[in-house]
Amino acid sequence: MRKLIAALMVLALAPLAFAAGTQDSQTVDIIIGQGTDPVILDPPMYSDTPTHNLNLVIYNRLFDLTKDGKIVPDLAVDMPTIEENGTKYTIKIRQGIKFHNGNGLNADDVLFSFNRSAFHEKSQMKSIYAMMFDVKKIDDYTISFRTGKFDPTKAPAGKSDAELKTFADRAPYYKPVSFGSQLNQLTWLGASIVDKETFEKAEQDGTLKDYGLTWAVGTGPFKFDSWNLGDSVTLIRNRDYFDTSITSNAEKLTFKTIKDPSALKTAFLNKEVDLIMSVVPLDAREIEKQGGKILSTDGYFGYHYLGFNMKSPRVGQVNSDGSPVTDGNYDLDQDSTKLRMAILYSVNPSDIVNSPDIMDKRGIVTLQYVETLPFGHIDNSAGTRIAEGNTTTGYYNPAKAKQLFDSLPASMKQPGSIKCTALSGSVYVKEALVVKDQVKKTLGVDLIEIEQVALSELATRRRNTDPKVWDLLVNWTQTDDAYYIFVAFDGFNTSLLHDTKFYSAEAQKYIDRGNSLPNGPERNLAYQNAQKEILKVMPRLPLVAMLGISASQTNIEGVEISPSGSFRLRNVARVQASK
Amino acid sequence: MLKYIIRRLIHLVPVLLGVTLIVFTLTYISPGNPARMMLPQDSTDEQVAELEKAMGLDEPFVMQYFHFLFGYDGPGDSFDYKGLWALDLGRSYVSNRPVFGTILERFPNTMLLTFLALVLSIVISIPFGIISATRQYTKTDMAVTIAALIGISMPAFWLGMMLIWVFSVNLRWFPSLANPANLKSIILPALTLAAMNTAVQTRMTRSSMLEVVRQDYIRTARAKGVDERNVIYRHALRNALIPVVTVIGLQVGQLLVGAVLTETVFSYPGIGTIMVDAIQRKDTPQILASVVFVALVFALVNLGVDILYAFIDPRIKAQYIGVVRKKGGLLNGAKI
Repeated sequence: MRKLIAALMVLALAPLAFAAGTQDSQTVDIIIGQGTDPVILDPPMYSDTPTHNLNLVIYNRLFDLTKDGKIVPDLAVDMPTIEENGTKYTIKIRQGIKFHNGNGLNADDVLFSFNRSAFHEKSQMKSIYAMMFDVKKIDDYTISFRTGKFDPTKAPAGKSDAELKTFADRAPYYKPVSFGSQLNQLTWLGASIVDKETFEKAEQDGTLKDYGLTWAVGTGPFKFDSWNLGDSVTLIRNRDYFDTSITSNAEKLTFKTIKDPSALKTAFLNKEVDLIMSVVPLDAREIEKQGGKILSTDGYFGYHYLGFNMKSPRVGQVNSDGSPVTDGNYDLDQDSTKLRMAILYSVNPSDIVNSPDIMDKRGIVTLQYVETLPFGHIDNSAGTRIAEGNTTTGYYNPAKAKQLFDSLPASMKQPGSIKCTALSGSVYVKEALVVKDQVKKTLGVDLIEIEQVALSELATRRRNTDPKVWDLLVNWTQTDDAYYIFVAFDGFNTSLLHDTKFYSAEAQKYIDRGNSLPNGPERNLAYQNAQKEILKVMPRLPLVAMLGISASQTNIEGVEISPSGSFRLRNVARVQASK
Repeated sequence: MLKYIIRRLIHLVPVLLGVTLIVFTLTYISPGNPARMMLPQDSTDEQVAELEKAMGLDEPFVMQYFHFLFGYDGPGDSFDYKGLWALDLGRSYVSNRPVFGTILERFPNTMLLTFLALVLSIVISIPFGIISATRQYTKTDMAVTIAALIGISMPAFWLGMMLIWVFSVNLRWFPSLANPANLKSIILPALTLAAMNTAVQTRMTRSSMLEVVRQDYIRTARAKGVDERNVIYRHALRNALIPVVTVIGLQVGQLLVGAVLTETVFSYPGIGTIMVDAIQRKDTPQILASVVFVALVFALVNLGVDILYAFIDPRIKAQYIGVVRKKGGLLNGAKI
């Protein structure tokens, strides 16, 4: 029996003996901690930040977006030639570029990649190509395409845009329309270039189903090496990378999945990982105290907003019979509009920014709807802020708020008559409380009643916009989600403005104009005017822009944070640790 | 004996079918639409309906359960699978990987963690159980009893976090992240997972030993002048361990279940984290495959324990043989 126990003890202690053998190697292996597994290393098929972080270094696009939002050539030789009133693009592709498997890149690969992203049944990036047609190969290293829209008058009755499954199919039924953001959209990951020959071969030998899961081939500075499911993905340096200016000394990038946020923070503080993202403001303070380096975006990452239910007779826009206004024309003298504006002028978002348990000063008061990211580079680097208001207190104007509120009938001034929804136990509840207190203080009536709901209920409320259930909503929108706001104004799909079902005909005119113009002051002005029109009726009050907060160890350098909050790791390097 | 094993294996079929029906029903009625979750946020209702059709989600519950058991052949080939009977439930809605392939890839990690936890619990619990029994009502016994009580009371996730705080954050003896490639990193999760079992086994060993040491044959051994060490280890422990082994066997299943929480706390890539992920994302094929797999392993482990038990205790083996012979019209084995 004692022998048995002794044997069991040896077994139990064996790990320690094994562990003693693990030593650091000379290879520079940079470990990035992420909250979830990447989903698939096939850019058009899925888009979330942990997946982005990998795909950004495995693949290249024809054009790239720098961290300050500028478009620069990547696999393209130069910026495109744009002709015919901004509707025809001709792009020259770099020669001598090799995929990770040694195959050469040419125009066929670009056309194949565009077609696959635009029309594959599982592609989530079809919107990038929604206005592209007549995509052609000019020669082995040159392509061209046009931008436009489906023209029903050119198509036979019953024919719809959705039935057109190739760029060539679209050609007879599309009319040329310029689209200023097209180039910007080609910098997105969904426009990554893949190897046509590899895909065709994989289709024949039956391995295509595992593309992006057990293998992936791009042209980027790091190559796919292995994926230990649920644990880590390893990329290794691509020694044949065409851009010799990159400064990374990393031989390996290991993307380690750590699902529990506190475990992620602990691993970082223990120096078990070199980089982490999505750090909450309070943790950021602790990380800084313990000598970590905080990296943040410039306020682009997302917005916390106060949304108005536009179907609500109290704060929305409804006709006399109670039906919602859907034609985009608003009665600015309606009592509900005045109440919306009274709430707008009552709120001072700086309290949210400064509150230690909300943003802890790691956010900014925001005044704009239009950011450079979704629309492409706009010459004004500050974005397209609306002149009214300021970045210290937003649109806060208590005198104006009181004046508007006083003009309302007593029936609209009942305490608790405005129902505000926020995600249960979240920071948005705290923000809703700030809004409630400020409205009470400014207007003299405790108008707002807050209801906390679970995530599924919140989603249902947003979708249904039942005026009996909610009037206000405090929530967060990611950059991607914010993009949908602008898509709504682009006129592609107004239903995407799910929170508020808001559509303004006047704003739409300016958005259309901005979209059709090349980058420059005129385009900037068009978007500014669109925002002024939105502000007039105010379906949604941007409260604060949150910073995307990441952290790195002090000996890690060269990490860039893209406007969407993803890591750009092509230049990441481990330097000698300072003592 | 072989017939007994075969019969037990056949009994597993209705048990597993029951498990699948319960899990399938729960997954079916839980909120959330997998088709909507798979599609981009800007998808129209028509696109969602089209995908639901492709996935077979537009069919009635009974048909969907039938597909789950015997396979699905949809309009396209993206969502086809052969069914549970062929151990093919298709690909995950989220990762697009074959669901059973994913489980088989991760299961060795969970087994490793479970095995280490089991070994740790045995190594700790049996000596302490013996000490506690042989020094009944002393301070040592009290200390072991209190430690066991704490072990039973502490939730695994809390203990895991405390171990990380003490041994990783403060003492820096162990990493906070566990990984099967680094065995040192598995010690904390193994301890976490082993804690409750250790406590139960310690108490079990103690009470079993106390019962055995009062038996006549132990008194006889002492009367014959056998030294105390031999009395305890050779005569008492061997008999006291029989119920302990039964409990240990049953706890293997509990360890598998406990691994779900422990793996999450230590970011350990086992099947527990697969299940948690799948449930959070309503990845139906992955949820079903994982639960069926765990149920199968649980049932097989219990069967294995029953068989092992027969080898440890000849009286039980005799009973098995007796049952088989009775069925065949022979004499009761116990009388042979």
